[in-house]
Amino acid sequence: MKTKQRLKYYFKSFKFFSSEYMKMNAVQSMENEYSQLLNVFLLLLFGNFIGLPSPPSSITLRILPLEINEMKYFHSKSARAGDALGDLFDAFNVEI
Amino acid sequence: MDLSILFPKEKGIILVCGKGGVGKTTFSSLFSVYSRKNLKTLAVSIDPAHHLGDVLGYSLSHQIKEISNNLYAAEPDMERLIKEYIQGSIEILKYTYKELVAMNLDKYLDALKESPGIEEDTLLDYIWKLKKMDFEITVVDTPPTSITTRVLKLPWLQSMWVERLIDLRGKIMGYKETIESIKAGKKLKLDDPILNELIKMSQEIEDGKKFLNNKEKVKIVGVTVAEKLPYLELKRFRNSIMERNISLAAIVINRYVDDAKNREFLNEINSEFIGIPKIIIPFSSEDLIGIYKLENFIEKIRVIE
Amino acid sequence: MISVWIFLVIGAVWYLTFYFTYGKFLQNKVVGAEEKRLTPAHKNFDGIDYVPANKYILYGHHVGAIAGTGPIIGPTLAMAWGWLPALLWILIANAILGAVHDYLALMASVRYEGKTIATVTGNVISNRAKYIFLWFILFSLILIIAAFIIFDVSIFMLRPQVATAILIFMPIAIFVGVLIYKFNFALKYALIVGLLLILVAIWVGYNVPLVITDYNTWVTILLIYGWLAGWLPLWYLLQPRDFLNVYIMWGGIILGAIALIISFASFQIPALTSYTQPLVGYKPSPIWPVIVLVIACGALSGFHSLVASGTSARQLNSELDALTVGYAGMFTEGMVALVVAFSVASTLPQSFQMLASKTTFPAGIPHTPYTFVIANALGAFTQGYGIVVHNAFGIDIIYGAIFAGLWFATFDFAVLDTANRLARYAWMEILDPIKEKFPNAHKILYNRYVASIIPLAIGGSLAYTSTITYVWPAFSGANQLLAALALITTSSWIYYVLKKPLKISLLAFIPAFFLWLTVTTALFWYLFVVSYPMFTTGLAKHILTTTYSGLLLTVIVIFLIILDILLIIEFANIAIRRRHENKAKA
Repeated sequence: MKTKQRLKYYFKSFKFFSSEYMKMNAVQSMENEYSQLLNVFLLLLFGNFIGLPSPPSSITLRILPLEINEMKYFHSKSARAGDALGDLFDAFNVEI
Repeated sequence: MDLSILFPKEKGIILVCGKGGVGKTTFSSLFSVYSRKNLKTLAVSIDPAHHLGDVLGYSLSHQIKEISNNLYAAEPDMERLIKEYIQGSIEILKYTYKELVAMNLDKYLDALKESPGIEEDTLLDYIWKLKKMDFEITVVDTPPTSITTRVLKLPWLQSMWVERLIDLRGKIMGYKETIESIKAGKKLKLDDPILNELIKMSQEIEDGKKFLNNKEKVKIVGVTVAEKLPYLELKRFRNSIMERNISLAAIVINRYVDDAKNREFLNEINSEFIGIPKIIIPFSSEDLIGIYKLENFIEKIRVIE
Repeated sequence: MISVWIFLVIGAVWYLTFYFTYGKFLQNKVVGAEEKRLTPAHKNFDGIDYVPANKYILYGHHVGAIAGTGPIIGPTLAMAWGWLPALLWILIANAILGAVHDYLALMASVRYEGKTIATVTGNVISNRAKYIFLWFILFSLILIIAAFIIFDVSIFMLRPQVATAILIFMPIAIFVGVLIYKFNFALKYALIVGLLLILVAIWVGYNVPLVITDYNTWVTILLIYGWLAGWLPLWYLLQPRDFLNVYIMWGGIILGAIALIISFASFQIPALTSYTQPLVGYKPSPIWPVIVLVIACGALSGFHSLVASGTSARQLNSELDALTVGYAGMFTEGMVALVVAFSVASTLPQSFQMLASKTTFPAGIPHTPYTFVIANALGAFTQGYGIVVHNAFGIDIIYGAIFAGLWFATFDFAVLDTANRLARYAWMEILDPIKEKFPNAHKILYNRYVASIIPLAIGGSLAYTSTITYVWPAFSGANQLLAALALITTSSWIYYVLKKPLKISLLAFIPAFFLWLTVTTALFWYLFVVSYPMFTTGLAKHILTTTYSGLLLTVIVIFLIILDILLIIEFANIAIRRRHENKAKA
């Protein structure tokens, strides 16, 4: 009985992991592109703080309160600004 | 023809523009005194170098107050305007950013006040506020033409940015939706408050553009004197706003003296600005201060094709 | 006749043993990994890049990111030496160098908040070392562009059926992409559709081969593809193609392994042919040190340190997961390399007989299976794979061969279109220091089109003028230099930053310097025995292609050697300075 339950458990885990694995494969590059685009969007909005030309304050002030969560991401991404090699190698699946 | 050509059909705004010192405030005051006989009039000066109160003979403040029958006036303070303008956002920030910036919020506020372009944003926002008030006619004494031009063209700049942001955000949300749908195993529709806000903004900006282009609601009056520099600036101003389909409703020639130079000047204006009514205000040897003197002077003003 | 499956089992047991002994030792005593120390995925959680992931999923991702085409070429070429040297290298070098390299790079990155290994190098050794790192990457990318163009051309010319299959594969990938992303097809059904369509592609390829006989035409086509693909949006082609590629790879590996086992494949070549068998440039190649110029992936690859310090580091749930992800991940690639090596080793004489007539041997080279495996490495692999599958399942050899060719070519393409983008980035990073001193030059060189064309131009020119046996070892050398630098970085990290006792740190230092010594020797060997003579021969015989590629490769290798020596000087300086600092403190 126990072995049968064990097998069932392994089988279920395998099914779960392989479907999660499949999902990951189907979206990995896209997620990277999504995060890069999001970074660009945030740069456009808030790049003012680092000297980039940015939209009129009327726009940024209205959007700012809605952007709290994404701001956290912006901080973390900016901290890694000069260091994108890892990101790029991920995005581009250089399998050598 | 008389000054009533500038009256709107229902509600309207007159923006009195021109180089500093040519007589914007004088004309704004004259016209306000004239219009109050027929319409509930508001006269405001958004020129940082306020003279409106001096000319009208009343001490004006940031708040609108009634200075005579059917005539209201104000001299809004730029610093306060900016503060009011960003106050709303700051309140929301204070509420949502509690944990992050409880201490730094004041510093942030100061920085925002200095941010480039905040004056133009504030002024445009103020014009929208004026639009919503219940005065039948609002006469606005504007800042020097460089600022006024930027304010008038601001909606187009804003819409360029907003469209770009909507485009990018739409793409981002497209990716997010696709990614989340795959992760969830079924088609998801994501609602993005930021995209919604941007679209709302885009709509408001379009309405703003239409308002500025609406010759019934917004009349731009260019003021000049018979001198080269103010005239050149007026031409430049006209060309600049014409890019956005905003045209002059009338031209005011201030301190007009009937001599050769002035007449030649008038000819040149007539040929350069065809079809636009010219309002000629003769030179006055005495200072035009106070409603009584202004009222008496009005009959001397000529309006020609 | 020795059966191959025995060694597959030996390999698996070997790796498992190392995992539970040496691996655990690394984890506990050298790196000191602890469950309670929060990983960046938790500390720097941001919902997008820093998100903790399950260790098995991350393992799958990591393996997918490091394996693909790499473990195919190296082990195949190495069969010229016989099956034993490659086997030993894949087992030993992987366990002591490769997996350690991957694991330490992953852990170092995790301890540095998910920053890339190049940044860690800048921190632990010096900023100059970081730039050397970038230069190594740039050269590796340029050389891989050249190498992979040559590979693709050779497979398309040898097997035009594969060319057709790949051509059809592109629209299939787009179609599957539309199914998944636009129509929300369930993934597994989309995958099945894709795989079935691939079978159709293979069948069509078999019947309608795309025959272009001119080498240079192919190179031009591929260069144009590499250039265009650098500007393609992702989800149309690249994402669904990568999705399908993963399953092609796993299918190929599992099918190959099963076929090897159930057909009782046995070695058809000697364990050792000769210690100095002609291999690189057809010159007598001593196994040590030249093996590092032949086998990269599967034993040790510098690129893995960059992959490890990317998503894998940022999504690691617990420090204890790193052993599964990084260490076992590399072992998995080792197993793949074994499957490839054994497929070739058990079929080489047969494939030689079948394909020798279609192979272009250079003038003056005898026609033996061991020169065949170099002159026609992809032929040896695809044919070998086809034979193994045929022996196991009775499928016509040509179908297995086309599938193997497709497997190789699709990953090859994936590298082609991305290597260019990466080279662009590395190029721009490298230019940073000259920005202040030479602003005008910087402006011109920094331009994105210039940055995009230069790697393609250099790589492409090599593709027009040279062959696998010259270009692949150069790439492998650059790759191993990357790995050596990464290992020196991580062992320095262990000694200077983690402040582990010297006895323990030596366990990291010794392999690092052994590798450095091996690669440096190999590069000098390559310079004096292969590339420079190639240049002079070309000059003497007035052959433009030989002269050009000999010269270019010589220049590149000299550059690499200079950087290599600068690197060791840099390290020595830092070591001495640190010593003085410690003495001053004490």
